[in-house]
Amino acid sequence: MKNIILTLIILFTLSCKAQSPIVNIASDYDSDDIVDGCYLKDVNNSFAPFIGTWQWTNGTDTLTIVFSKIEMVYNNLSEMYTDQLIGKYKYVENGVEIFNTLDYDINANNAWDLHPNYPKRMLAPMLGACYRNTTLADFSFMDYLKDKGEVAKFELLDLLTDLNGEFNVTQAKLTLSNREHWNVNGQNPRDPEFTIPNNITLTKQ
Amino acid sequence: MEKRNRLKIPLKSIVLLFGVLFILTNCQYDDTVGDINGTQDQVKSKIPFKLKEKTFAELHDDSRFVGAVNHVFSKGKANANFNARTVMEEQYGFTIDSTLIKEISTEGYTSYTFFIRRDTISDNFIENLVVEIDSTNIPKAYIIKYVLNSESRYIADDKAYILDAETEITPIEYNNSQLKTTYDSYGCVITLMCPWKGDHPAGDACIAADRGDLYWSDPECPEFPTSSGTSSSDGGDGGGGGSGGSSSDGSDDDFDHSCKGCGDTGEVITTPIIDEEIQETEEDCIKLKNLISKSVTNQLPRKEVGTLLNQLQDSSSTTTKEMGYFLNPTDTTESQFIPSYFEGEENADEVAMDLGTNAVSVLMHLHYNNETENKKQLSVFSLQDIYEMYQFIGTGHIFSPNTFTNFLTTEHGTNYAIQINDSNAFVNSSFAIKYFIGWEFSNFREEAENQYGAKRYNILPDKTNGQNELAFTKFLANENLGLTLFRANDDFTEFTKIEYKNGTFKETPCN
Repeated sequence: MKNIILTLIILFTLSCKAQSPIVNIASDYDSDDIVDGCYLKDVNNSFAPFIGTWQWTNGTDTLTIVFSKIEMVYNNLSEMYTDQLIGKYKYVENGVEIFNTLDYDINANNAWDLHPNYPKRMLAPMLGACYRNTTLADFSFMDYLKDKGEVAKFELLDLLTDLNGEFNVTQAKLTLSNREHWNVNGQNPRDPEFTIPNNITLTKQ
Repeated sequence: MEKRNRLKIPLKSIVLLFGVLFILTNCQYDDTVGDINGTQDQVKSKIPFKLKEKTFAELHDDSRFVGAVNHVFSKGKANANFNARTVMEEQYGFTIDSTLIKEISTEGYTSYTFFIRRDTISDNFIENLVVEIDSTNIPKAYIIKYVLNSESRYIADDKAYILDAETEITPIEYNNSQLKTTYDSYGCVITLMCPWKGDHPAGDACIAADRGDLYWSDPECPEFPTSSGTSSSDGGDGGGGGSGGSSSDGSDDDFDHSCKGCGDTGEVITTPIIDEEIQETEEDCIKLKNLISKSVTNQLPRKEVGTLLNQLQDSSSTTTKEMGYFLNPTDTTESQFIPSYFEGEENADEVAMDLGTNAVSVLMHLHYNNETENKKQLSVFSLQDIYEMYQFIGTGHIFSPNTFTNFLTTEHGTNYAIQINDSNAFVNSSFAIKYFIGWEFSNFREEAENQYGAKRYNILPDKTNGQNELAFTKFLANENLGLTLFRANDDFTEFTKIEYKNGTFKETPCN
């Protein structure tokens, strides 16, 4: 009996084929490597330099962005797991708070959810990762007041990493851009401007 | 005591079984892709050879191909004008069509299959020429004749044709350095087959589907007696198709993975080319070239579709607006068009058009470049462009999906045309069903854009034209969108069909 059980265990263990390959998110992977159930993982902790609070100030205007990392966020459309950087922002113009998402509670379970007050936009204000790159992160950017989802690029300008993996970074550039947009018969207008300032350099706090 | 001992065994068994179940449901992830440069191509690795579809342009630098073709036909055939008829072609009364060449290769064996045209066209059979090189390194050539039992039928799922035919094989005798070459023996024709929705030669789509039911067309493949002239295989499941021969239980277990055709066993391994496959490309090309020269009305001096495209191209390097034309047909045959110009606001990345209730035959727009914002629009169609085609079909804004063409010219210097080859495949593709239905919601669109861009296909503004073009063809192929892509030259007078097929980037110039 024991032998049978042991044999079964060995057979089942050997037949346990891995179904979900891990893909290093910062590597130069090919589209063929992306299969259903795969996991785009921050293998080398390349998200770390982005994480924290970044600020831009111009007189009484202030933009604060806070990045954190959430692991294994599942998307049921692409059927992929991805380590994600979540960005939350607060914008103050002329001393008046224009929009504040810093208190949003975002986790692996709700990162792809829609916003309760802006039903076509996502709850996560900035959702993305440093795909295939260690200094540039691509994000989906939710501009709630303009009711649009566009693209944000966040580029570390002075990242230095030593042999032990210790890093130092102080500045980064935020670039927002509109995706190509079709407005047929005037039914789908879009304001090309953004609520928050664009093409700015932020300093790590 | 005895009772307690008896109880212990089942308990242990239960614990162990739970352990087994635990292991099964908690498999470790594979090695990390990217660290080991691995790829997920397990299905293709089961097939004991590589099957690729190529054009003469792609093969004329391949020394193995050039050597074999020159050896069989005549010196220079593979280097110069392939379409020039050789003495051998004259002798056998056929012309080789170089539009599509199917290459099958494995260790020690390569075959090239060509479509043959005769002066007199017959609906009863089709013929291919197979040039093969085995481990002896002496090229051999055969005419494979498929005598049709019925008309070929297209299987959209596998992008392949059912070919119900009897197979005949004729060795080519060719003159090499004044020596008459004959084959001492020649064998039967074998083809890797796929039974999905009707037995047909297995192509990339069937192999990738990994249904576990591939089989050889002639598993016994008896050797033919040495003789001259034409011989016939033993029936309907010869190289071209027919029925039967599938794995009995539908699993892959019965599939003979051994390398058929290898080891000089006399088998000719091929996969047939039928006229419809060649005509697909030719018809698409003809349709496109005709379209370019069609007139547009209300334009003085008189203009053609190509003129409007050239105007847009000229603007692409100077404008900071999206602009373009949509063309409405003046009659049901779409013989000429009424153009309507549209443009968006400065730097708004917006295609703004007042389409009304028009159903259009042609769309054309540009992707400009706005260096001041340190960004560029894509050198290929954006995902939004593809989505709008989907929308136009759904809202009845396309006059006829079968003839509709969407042109793009970009500041990057690229020009493309895309046609809807199969509108059902397009609107019912899993990509469209997954992402396009909920496109107005950010969680749908953002993940679609992620897949198109940084997360999977890597189609991005800062990539080179070549990188984006390759990635775009992969996207069209992998997502099975039923769209056909052409690259145009600088003045939209020449087109090349480009596609990603059988793991290869393929270019077929429109002659």
